[in-house]
Amino acid sequence: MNALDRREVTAALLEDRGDMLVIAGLGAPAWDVTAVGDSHLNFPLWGAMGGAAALGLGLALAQPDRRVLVVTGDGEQLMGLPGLTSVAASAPHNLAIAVLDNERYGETGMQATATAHGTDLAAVAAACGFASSTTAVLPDEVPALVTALRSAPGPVFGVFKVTADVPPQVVPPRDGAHLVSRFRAALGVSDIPS
Amino acid sequence: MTGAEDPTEIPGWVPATHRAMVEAGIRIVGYVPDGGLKELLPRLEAEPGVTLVPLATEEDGVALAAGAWLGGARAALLMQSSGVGNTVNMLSLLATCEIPALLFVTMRGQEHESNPWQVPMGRAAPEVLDAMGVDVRHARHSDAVAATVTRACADAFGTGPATAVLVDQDVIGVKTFAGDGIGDS
Repeated sequence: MNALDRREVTAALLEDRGDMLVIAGLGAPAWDVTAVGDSHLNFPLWGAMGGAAALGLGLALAQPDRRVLVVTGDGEQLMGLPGLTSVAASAPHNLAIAVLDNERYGETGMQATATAHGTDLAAVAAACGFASSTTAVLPDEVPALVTALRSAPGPVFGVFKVTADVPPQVVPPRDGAHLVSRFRAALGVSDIPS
Repeated sequence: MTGAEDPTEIPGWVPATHRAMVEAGIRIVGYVPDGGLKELLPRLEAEPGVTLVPLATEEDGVALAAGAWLGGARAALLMQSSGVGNTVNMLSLLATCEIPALLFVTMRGQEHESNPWQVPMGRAAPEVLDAMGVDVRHARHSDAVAATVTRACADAFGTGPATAVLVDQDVIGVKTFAGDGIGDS
């Protein structure tokens, strides 16, 4: 039985985040990241399933001086497995991917994902060539993995085995063009004042 | 059959298109290889200001381009027409979020195609892109490719939406297979 609390893990990942850039995969991870606090430097997805890792890669390559953290779910990451090969091949030093793995498709009725049947996402990432890839199962394994995701040379991959509990939805804005504009303005890469 | 007779000859559109992409400010290039891209890719890889990203599937190139744009960089996705089919749902990211990008597509499945498996996606590629909100331009002659890329980038990054340049199979040269009797002397 998975033991970790997804909201506690997310809060730890984002504590004192500074100027870190955050991509949130669709569904529960987007609600988790927003529950910690909406930020202009968050880019929460409402679709584009399977694209979170590759999106993080593009952002990390464009902003090599910023830490980029992707927070996503096991279903989203399973759909985006090919992207892990591109991340590993590009080896961005500033990119980390955290998977909140509840072994369920939470938005569609809690159907089992492949991780419920033994697929080990950290092993997949390691086989793709990630510099670091770890799974946290017990609460006392969380702090070291959070530290690695926040500061170890990338690309870093971390899986948190979280419970299937469903905390209250905390939804971010759903206007995609708005999310892009405010992110670019906060980053200082658009002509719109932040 | 431009460029197909002598494998060591660089087709004229290649250096011009390389320059057009660099001058348009493209910094990140995701790609799934195609025979039509084999001379362009190493030129872009050797370009100091350009980062090439090998992709396992083309949809990741759409997400990559979106991430690049979030970070203030212009990106392109280079692929064969068959790869357009792999991008479809991810293109909703560009449409919904109004993210510009250059899609550079070397065509298969057009006239003189020798592999029937290429035909359905080659036929559908322009309509699929159009249906997903991508503006579609065609480069039907070798000397039109670079100018079409320049205009596509100016429009995509100036006003949006994301824009695709489809390079005709006649520009690239038709691929042949053993026993085809096509291209034999």
